[in-house]
Amino acid sequence: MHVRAVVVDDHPVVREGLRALLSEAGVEVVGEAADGRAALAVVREVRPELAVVDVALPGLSGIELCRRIRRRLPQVQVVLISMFDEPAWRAEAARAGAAAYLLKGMAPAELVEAIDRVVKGERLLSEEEEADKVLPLTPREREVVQLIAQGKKVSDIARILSRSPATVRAHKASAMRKLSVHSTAELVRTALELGLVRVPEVTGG
Amino acid sequence: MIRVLIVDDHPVVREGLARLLARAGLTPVGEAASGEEGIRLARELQPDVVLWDLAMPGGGLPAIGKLKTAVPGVRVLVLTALDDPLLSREMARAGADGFLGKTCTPEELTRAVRACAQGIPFFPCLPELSPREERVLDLLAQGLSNRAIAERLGISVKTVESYLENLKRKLGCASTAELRARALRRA
Repeated sequence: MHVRAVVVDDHPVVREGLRALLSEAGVEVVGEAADGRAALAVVREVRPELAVVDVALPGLSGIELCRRIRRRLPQVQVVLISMFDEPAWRAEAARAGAAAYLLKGMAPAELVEAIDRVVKGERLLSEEEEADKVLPLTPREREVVQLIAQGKKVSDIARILSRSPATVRAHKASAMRKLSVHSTAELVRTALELGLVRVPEVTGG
Repeated sequence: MIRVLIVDDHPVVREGLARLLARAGLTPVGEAASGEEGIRLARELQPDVVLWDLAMPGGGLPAIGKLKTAVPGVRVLVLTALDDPLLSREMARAGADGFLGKTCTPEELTRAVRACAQGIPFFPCLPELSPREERVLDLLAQGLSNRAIAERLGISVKTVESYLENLKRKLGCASTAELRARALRRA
């Protein structure tokens, strides 16, 4: 499979270095851009399989660019590159649909391997994993919040999870404390915003 | 042949620099990932020019002075992701022979390396400040108010204000607050 990529970074030196690393992963760079708006135009024009984007771009941020590419051209995988390993940014990157969040400080062999895996279809970022690192809800708390987001009452949740209502209420209270919210509505909204729970599927009828 | 040592903590940047230099007919002779390693390697390899990242571990201005002492005659071209012209002055004072932002084009990089190799200072962002303007800026960097600056220099507050206007214009600051903040930051 011949993989073509667009590289987006405002430092020509870094674009050159990425070009070298990508070619080691068998990826051909067919377009470059130094800012988000130019990048969108280039990506639309050349329709690459991959976009490698610096998180820190002038104007449109790398993460926002990622979001737009993933929304409008979902067949393009986006790999974000950053100077910093910030859990909050990783979580945002995951929510924006990035396939990976790599560091400029990584050894070339590591970068090449990560890109190779993304190109083969692997997603190295998981929304839930990253969200948990930022605000660790226990799996139980997450379960409870998910069910609340689906509109279930405490008594229903207790039955579904085979726990007492008191336990369910305790998990709910703990989640609310961790997320600094004061109502059930806020809890659901915040959890959805942070990607801690999935938007409930709307089934017909 | 111009021999260049690359010192930067990001492998992707080192790779890019090596390729751009080679393509321009310059000779990358080695790479280091920290200031300490850079100084050690420079002593060993005796390059003509060292490309030096300011933000890397051990990459601060004092280390530039150490490098120049350790390898007499070596030229140091400082690379940085920050484009602040104020930093440029500090770098010149610390012994750098040139300064370039990482947003530079490959052509600018090549020109800078060649200039430094010949002993020609390369500071494209160095603002031209009069000695008085330099003095006012130093006092600003020490956190003095306009009134305190006026007293210190024996001039009126109005005169200080007009100096500040000139400084803002030359350094591209949108407000006096920004000028003050940038002066304080680099102090």
